[in-house]
Amino acid sequence: MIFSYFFADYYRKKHLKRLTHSSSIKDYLNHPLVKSNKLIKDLEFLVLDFETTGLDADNDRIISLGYTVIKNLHLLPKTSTHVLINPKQQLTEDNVGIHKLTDEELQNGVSLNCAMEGLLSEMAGRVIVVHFDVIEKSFINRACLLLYQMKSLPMVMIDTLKIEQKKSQHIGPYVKQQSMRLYALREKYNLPRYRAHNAMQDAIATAELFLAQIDYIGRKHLIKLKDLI
Amino acid sequence: MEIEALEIIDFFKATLPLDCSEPEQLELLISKTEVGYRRKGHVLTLKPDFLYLVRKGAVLIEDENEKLFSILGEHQWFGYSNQLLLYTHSCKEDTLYYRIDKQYFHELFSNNNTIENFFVDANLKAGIKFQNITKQNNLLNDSVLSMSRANDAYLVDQKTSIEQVAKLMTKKNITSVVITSNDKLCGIVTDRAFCTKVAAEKLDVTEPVGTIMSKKPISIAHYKSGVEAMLLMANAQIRHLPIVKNKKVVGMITAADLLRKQSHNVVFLINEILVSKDSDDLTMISKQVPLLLQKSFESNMDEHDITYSVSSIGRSINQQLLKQAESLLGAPPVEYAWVVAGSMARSEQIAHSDQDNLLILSDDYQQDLHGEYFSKLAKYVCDGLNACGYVYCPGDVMATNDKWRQPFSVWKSYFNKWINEPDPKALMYASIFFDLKCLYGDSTLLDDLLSDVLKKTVKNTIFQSHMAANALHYTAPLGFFRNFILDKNGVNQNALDLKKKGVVPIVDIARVYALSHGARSINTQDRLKELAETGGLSQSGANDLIEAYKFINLIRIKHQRYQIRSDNLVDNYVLTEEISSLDQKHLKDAFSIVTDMQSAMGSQYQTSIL
Repeated sequence: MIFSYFFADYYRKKHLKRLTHSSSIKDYLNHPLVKSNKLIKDLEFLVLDFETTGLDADNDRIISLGYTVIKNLHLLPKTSTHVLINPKQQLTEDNVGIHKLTDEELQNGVSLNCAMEGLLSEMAGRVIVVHFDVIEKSFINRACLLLYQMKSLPMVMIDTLKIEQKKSQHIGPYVKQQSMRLYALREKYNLPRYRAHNAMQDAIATAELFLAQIDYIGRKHLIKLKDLI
Repeated sequence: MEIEALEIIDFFKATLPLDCSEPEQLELLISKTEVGYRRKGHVLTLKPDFLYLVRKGAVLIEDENEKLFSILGEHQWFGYSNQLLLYTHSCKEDTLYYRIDKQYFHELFSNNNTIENFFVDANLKAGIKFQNITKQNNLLNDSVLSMSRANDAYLVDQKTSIEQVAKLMTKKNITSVVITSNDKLCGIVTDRAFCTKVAAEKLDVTEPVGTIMSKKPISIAHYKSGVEAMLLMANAQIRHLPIVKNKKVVGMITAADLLRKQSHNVVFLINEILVSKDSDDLTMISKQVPLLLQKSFESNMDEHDITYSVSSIGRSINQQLLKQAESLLGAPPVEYAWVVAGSMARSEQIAHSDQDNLLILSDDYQQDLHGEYFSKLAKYVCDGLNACGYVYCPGDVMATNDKWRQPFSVWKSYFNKWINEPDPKALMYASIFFDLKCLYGDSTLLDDLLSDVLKKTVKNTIFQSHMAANALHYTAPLGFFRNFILDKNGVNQNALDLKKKGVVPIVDIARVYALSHGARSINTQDRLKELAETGGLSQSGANDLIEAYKFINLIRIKHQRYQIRSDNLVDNYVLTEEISSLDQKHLKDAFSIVTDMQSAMGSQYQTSIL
């Protein structure tokens, strides 16, 4: 963990030197990565959820993203944000089914560049929380490659799925089991069932799951970031 | 931000009193809302700056006496009044909650009367709801109006003469009257005023009663509970409270009314026992004993009083069974004493326990003539006790056993043998047969026996040493909290047997000193007090032991109360996680007192030379 922090921070500084013009990515890289020995009660978390046209970051697209902020170990609903991205490509039948987003709605969406600028300013100085980090990690990196010619974005990311796997000692092949799905886990922690299924509500759902998980760890005011990564 | 799309908006709209707010107000409210989570069984730390709302789960509110105040579910609020902040809020289920900036909330809705009044009334409603939940459990939770003996308060105008008021109070057998001026409450006169003012100051009894009244008396609203009345009386050091409804006096509640309610349960049960016809009736009645234990605990009774009331019910059941047996079998042919042994004799029962009993028969007893009568009597009573939950003694120390149903002279020879030849078996009996109490019949049989026994035990130092050595058998688990010395036998491997490890050693110590100093008390605390007075024990040593004994028993009762509440079988095995850290500290202190006293006793009675 410590090594990966140094590597990530090294890359952050390296990229920073390369950037001359002020931009949202430069602004993001200006914030040091959160150190893993910090107490989580003192940290701010950005809980994130993407909706994509598929699982392949190279060929699929992000069509919407939602996020919310956790501060003082409480979720702040007012920070909840939903951003639609115009993918400039047709949605396939089955995607519409899942996300209930239509082409028309997405035509009104912003560009990927614009969405990333907003996201980066929210991510700066915060720890990212997602459920099943493969999607968000790969699509963020892909976006950074396209937009800023960076192979990967230095960031500190917590995966609620991994927290759960660690807890249940299922550290094996990285398989998204049925019981590890966000809504199955929420039920386990007696969290409410939400009707809406979009990136923002899923980000909130993930955030609440995260709060439940850390409460179950116990003595949450003594938990350090490294305990969760 | 797309607040209108948030699920929380829908939740707010469906929550009273927010259903009557404007959509824009809800959006503003969300800007001051935070979401938190606490898992089942854990206490919420409320901050006075926030108003709380249950989103999912359940929150249990208990007052400072751990009495249930309210259980909240989805859409219900808490933390709205500062008074409630002092109560314990714990999660009965995993709970997701919203907390909202309180000041902002009230500013936002300052023009909305429905919302503002909701929280003023909520406090009262929570109390009423709580009354409904716990009505069957605690009579003190009823409204004061319902428990005042006379619903009509006696109202007297302040111009009425003292003499007339005194006559009225005597005639109506009341201890206080409310004094009014133009039909408005202006004072109160209690019987005490006639002593402190009229008699002491030699007032003329034709003077108006207004001159002796206590002005501006404290009153209580009619819907308040008996508990609140009690607290009010305690704080103000008064014994009478006028009950007020719509600014009018509608009744009077006195300390005596409250007291009657509190002891009602024990008294009621004993009355039921006394009118019962057969052992089936008694079996039904005895089912209420666990509930009584719980009620007593909830009304914050002293543990000594609790064990005393539970024991007195046990005694009453036993006595009633004997009466029933006599009416069935006819009058006894010779005098007898029905004697109980062990914890029932010491009045130290909590909940049901084994029965230990014996019969001392008069020396006129003749086996051929009277044997059948007493064996039938013993069988009826012991079977009845068993049916009532006082199960058969595993060691067969019961009057049904021929060995323990003997004439006076035989008992005398038994004790002689035990005292003069204290072998292990004799010592095992000591803990049972040296704690005796006559429940029924001719108590002089037991008194004479005990006088004889004590005369011998006081003189016999070898017997004393053996008793003392035997009492050191059970040691207090001092290493308990670091590395739990737990009972390695049996199922409760992670639990501490508070009876064997805590209570029994103290009971044993008290018995050893009582027998060697001729103290006649049977109850452990009484024994210790008597020993302190007669110099058998130092005052501080006795006090320490009493405190330790009380505390260990308190933890034990608490534990059993939880078991009763959750419908479990009652036992003495307390799990460490059940005990709060503060209690653990006290328990440790209690155990070290026991250990100290044990070693002092060991050297005093020279147990090491045995």
